Amino acid sequence: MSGQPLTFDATPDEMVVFLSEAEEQMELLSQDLLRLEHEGDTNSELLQEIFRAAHTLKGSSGAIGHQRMAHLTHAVESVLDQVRHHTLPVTTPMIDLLLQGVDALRVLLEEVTTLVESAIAIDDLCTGLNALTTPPPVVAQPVPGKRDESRPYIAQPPGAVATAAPSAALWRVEAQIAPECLLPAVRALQVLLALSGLGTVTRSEPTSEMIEAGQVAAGANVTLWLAPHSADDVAAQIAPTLASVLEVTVQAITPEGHTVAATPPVVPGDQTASLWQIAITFNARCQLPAARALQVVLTCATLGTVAASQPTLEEIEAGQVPVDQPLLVTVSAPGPLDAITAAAHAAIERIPEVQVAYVTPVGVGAQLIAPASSATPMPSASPTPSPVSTPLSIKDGEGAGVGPTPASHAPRMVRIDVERLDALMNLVGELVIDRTRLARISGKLGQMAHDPVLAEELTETCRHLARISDDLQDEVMRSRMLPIESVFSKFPRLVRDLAQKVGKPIDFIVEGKDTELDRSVAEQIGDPIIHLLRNSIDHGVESAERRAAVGKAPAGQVRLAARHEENQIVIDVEDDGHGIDIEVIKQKAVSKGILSAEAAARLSDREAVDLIFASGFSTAEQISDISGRGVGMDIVRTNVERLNGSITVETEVGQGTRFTVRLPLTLAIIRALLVEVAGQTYAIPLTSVVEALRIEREALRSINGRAAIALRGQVLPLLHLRDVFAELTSTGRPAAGTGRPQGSPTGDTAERAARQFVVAVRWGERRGGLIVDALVGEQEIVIKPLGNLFRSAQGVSGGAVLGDGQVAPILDIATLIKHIIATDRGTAVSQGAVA
Amino acid sequence: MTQAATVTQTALDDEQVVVFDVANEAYAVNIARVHEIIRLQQITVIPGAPACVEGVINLRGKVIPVLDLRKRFSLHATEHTRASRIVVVEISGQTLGLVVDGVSEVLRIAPDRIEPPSPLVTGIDSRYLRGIAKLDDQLIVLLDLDQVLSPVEQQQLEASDLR
Repeated sequence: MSGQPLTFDATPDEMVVFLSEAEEQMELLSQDLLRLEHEGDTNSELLQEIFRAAHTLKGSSGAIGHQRMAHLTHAVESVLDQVRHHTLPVTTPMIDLLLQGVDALRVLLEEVTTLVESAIAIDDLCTGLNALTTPPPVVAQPVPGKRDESRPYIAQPPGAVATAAPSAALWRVEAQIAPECLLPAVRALQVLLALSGLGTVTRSEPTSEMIEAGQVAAGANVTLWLAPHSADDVAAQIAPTLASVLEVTVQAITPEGHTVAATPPVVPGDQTASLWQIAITFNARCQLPAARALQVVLTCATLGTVAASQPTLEEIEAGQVPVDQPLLVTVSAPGPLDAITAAAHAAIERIPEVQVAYVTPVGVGAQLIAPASSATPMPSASPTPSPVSTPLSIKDGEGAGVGPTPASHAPRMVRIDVERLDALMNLVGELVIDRTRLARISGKLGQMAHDPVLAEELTETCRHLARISDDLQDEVMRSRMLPIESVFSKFPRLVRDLAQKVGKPIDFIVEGKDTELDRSVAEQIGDPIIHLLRNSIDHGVESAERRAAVGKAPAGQVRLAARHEENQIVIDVEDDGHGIDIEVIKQKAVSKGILSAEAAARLSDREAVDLIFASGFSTAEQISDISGRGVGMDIVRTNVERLNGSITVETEVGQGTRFTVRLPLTLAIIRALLVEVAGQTYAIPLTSVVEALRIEREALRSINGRAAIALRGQVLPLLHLRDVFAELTSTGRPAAGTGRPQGSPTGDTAERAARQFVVAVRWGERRGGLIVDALVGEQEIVIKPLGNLFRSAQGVSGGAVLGDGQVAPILDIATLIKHIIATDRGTAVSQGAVA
Repeated sequence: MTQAATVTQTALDDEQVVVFDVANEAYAVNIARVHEIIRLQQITVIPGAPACVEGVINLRGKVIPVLDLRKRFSLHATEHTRASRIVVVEISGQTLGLVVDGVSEVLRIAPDRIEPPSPLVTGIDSRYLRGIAKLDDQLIVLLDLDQVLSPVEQQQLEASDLR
């Protein structure tokens, strides 16, 4: 079976759409399944949503011809359908099985990319799922819940509407699939499903079989007849319900059939005159919507007889005209559609601030039947009583998001390829560089200005440009931001599985899901957090028995919280377990040879706790035999610091432990301290800088042959960057390279000897000082990768393009501090070890 | 008439190259590999970089490594002059700058003028060479750009993970 090449019935473009949507549906499914387990089957909205996700997945996988996926989703859907109808109770084994189903679906989804059949067997899973389901109830359901694929969605033949829902009217819903839609059949199915939540779909064109067979063309019209569950205001619910379906435009929602008790008598009218609905949209900035609306209605009266309008004339006269909703005017006028449309456009578009969105026929004279009227005949209308209607129809006109309900504002969102955002970010980065350059040039020109007015103008322009580019940078950054939910969403499942595995009940709390962070950070932060969560569950939280013994609630609490703090995102992973026992940590560190027993005894509590981040402190084998923590905590720290972030730990024995991860909001632009070493500028990420100080030569101490200074009672080991770099760059050329003017004042040896600048830097809890020739200043820098050729250059993590167009190497503080520590201990033989 | 036709035909086979000087020797690379030729600009030294790598420059917002061909060919290094240029080329998908003493011209070279490399003709290691073009008044060394980087550097360049 496995390993066979697969082919699917879809073009590459369709595949992309299919993949991204299938992933979304699966994500939704697994989240909702966890919610379902938590909340039970009382939340009908959740039940609908989860069922719809499964059904959409089934439809779309069927449409591309992925048999196994369709088969499995069908089994999942059948279970969910019965849960939805409360014929099947929600149980943990059921959720387990459904989650396994989703996992298997993910594997199957990969087949779409690999085009090779995976080894996963789904038969047992399907059997298990099918065993859960009981025969479906006899009640007519809008959607078939059982395997019987041939069973249509149509519960009754169209003629028998009254028996299907005796008290309900029949609504005709016309929707158009967007012409550029790649998965028309899926969209049609979604429409069908969405409507079946409101009532019984008695008939559809194309039929549900055709839709499921994929026989729907892009751009096609789908017409459905809906017998609502309840008579109240179904029309108002239909549009918002369908607004959630992508690439579908509702053309018209019209009442049909004669079953409504309150149907007004048929009004005799002009049999030859057709009824048209004209939808008019307002410009978003329209100042006087009510006045415009009145003008429109009056103008429509010149086209024919105004039968109705929405808002009604009273509402318009009262000024109740929402600018973000289309004005609908029903006009009775003879003539073909083209003529009416042309006339409407010609007449109405003379009115400022409005456009005709569309003109659509809604009936022929008296044949139009409508429920109770909410419309007012125009005073200027013909004395003949006009047919009255409350047609409700939406369609996106020129302005996206024009619709009668807030829900239809959804189309305001646009999907953008991540690569495009990255490109945009790069361009903005360059703009930032040029802005700084321009400001510099303007400054220079200002000094030698022959024309002070012009120079002033240039300065002014530069300032404005700086403001604009700052704003632009903010906006682009923001557009790249994701809520951290995209990272957090997979954790409840992970915690659930882990808790089951270790047999500890865990109460998992997630806070701050909406906190936004840059996509680049979001991509990288998942793994460290997983590590911390795993660690909390595995080692932080005690067993239920032990918790009971110390009087804690049986379920361990693990809290994951995100928030913004200044320009950082702060993520806490906290548990209410037994905390870290410092003595155990010390013993373990000594036994591992990380430090001597004497050194361990001298450590402060804080330093001792930090030992869990020491490399080599723990390996997977030893985790379970210590009461402390440490599943590769050094890796967590390294990964966090690679992102220019930091991690700290606070613990209280018996009370719990909290890890706090701090990360910059973006990885592309950081603030840095610029320093000069041997005539060249270097950048130090500001997150690593503790302080910068000027020291006199006398303050320098030599400890174990290494320079150091006393800084507030602590010894700060120093690294002379000039020496380190000179050694690294000793290749025959002057160290500063090519043609840069040597002998800048700071480069002068005598002066350098008398007075030096030290930048105290921090990496984790470790501190060190870097001796530099001069401090240049603080600047926002755009980080550029140096490329693979420089992988051996270990003291440097990247390049920054400065305001003058020069490239400044960005110092890799982690490596430099390690180097200081290593030489301090005497374990590194020479400074060359950095290279 | 026939002569003109022949010329056109030959022109199609000709190799178009950019000719530049390194230590008073004429070298050439195929024009298709050359992105652009820029004036020498401030090169930032990256401590710990491979020996032949001069440093990096900012090419319109992109940071690219710059190699010194004199160092590469183990010729004695000199200070750069006003005539010095950076020839921006692409090797293994990476944009690189080559520092040369000067760029002289763009030439068409007929294939029959190109001979296999001989270390006797030039002072540099023949593995960097693709051939020698013998023109009426000069010898031009055709560089094999793919050999300009050492195998280790090549590997580094091709490695997919970014540092």
